[in-house]
Amino acid sequence: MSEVLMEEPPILDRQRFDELRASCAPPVFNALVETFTDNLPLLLHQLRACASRADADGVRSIAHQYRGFAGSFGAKRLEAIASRIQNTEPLDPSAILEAAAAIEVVAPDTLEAITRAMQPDP
Amino acid sequence: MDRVILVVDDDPILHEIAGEILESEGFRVMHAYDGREALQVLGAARCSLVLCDVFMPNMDGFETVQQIHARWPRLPVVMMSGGNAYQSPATMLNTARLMGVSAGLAKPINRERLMSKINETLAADQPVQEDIA
Repeated sequence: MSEVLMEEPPILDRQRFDELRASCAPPVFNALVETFTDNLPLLLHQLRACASRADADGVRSIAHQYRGFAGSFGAKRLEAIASRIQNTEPLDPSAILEAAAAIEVVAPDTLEAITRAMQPDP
Repeated sequence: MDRVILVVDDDPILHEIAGEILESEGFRVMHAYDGREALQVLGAARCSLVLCDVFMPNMDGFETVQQIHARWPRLPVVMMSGGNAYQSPATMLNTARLMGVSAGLAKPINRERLMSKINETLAADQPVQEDIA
């Protein structure tokens, strides 16, 4: 978990986000976004709980969920962090805390970017 | 006869996206959240094709495909993967092809690529879900 990414992926890949938007009827897309934005804080809450008891399997499972959600929406940075967490061996207590901290930073930025992307173009 | 696709993935968002796309294209969609659940669904319903993820809890996609092909050898499976830190989606899907899946689909999915794989597979495989005696 300690390696530094040379080039961080974007918070939100607008091309992927718009591609998903084009694949779905507007009410369905809005519902998907709502599911995603509702689940981000819930997963963060679960991640904190797992981190507090050094539950590596729990953290890995939550990272897997983050990765799936983020990948579908083009939330590239969150997806990359989740992928790194999922594949870190061993996921010891310090790596778990580092993982939780990384997600804590990126999740709100992701929510903000999605909220902005949902607003109509000026 | 209805064309029925069973979507197998532990990601609820993927279910929503795939369901929306497939239903809008005239398919009926059934859902399972891991391999075990998929086998239960297939034991109770007839499906035209299975769209299956690799990484899932309880039973992963590779084992699920083996079990599906042991019971329903002519049922086509399209495998999806986003890869992991050690293997790209392409590598993983090549492995899946060697195990007999009909086609591979890299995640994230979109309408064009999903429908292309589904239609090609259904056209090529003449799918039949028949239990082997």
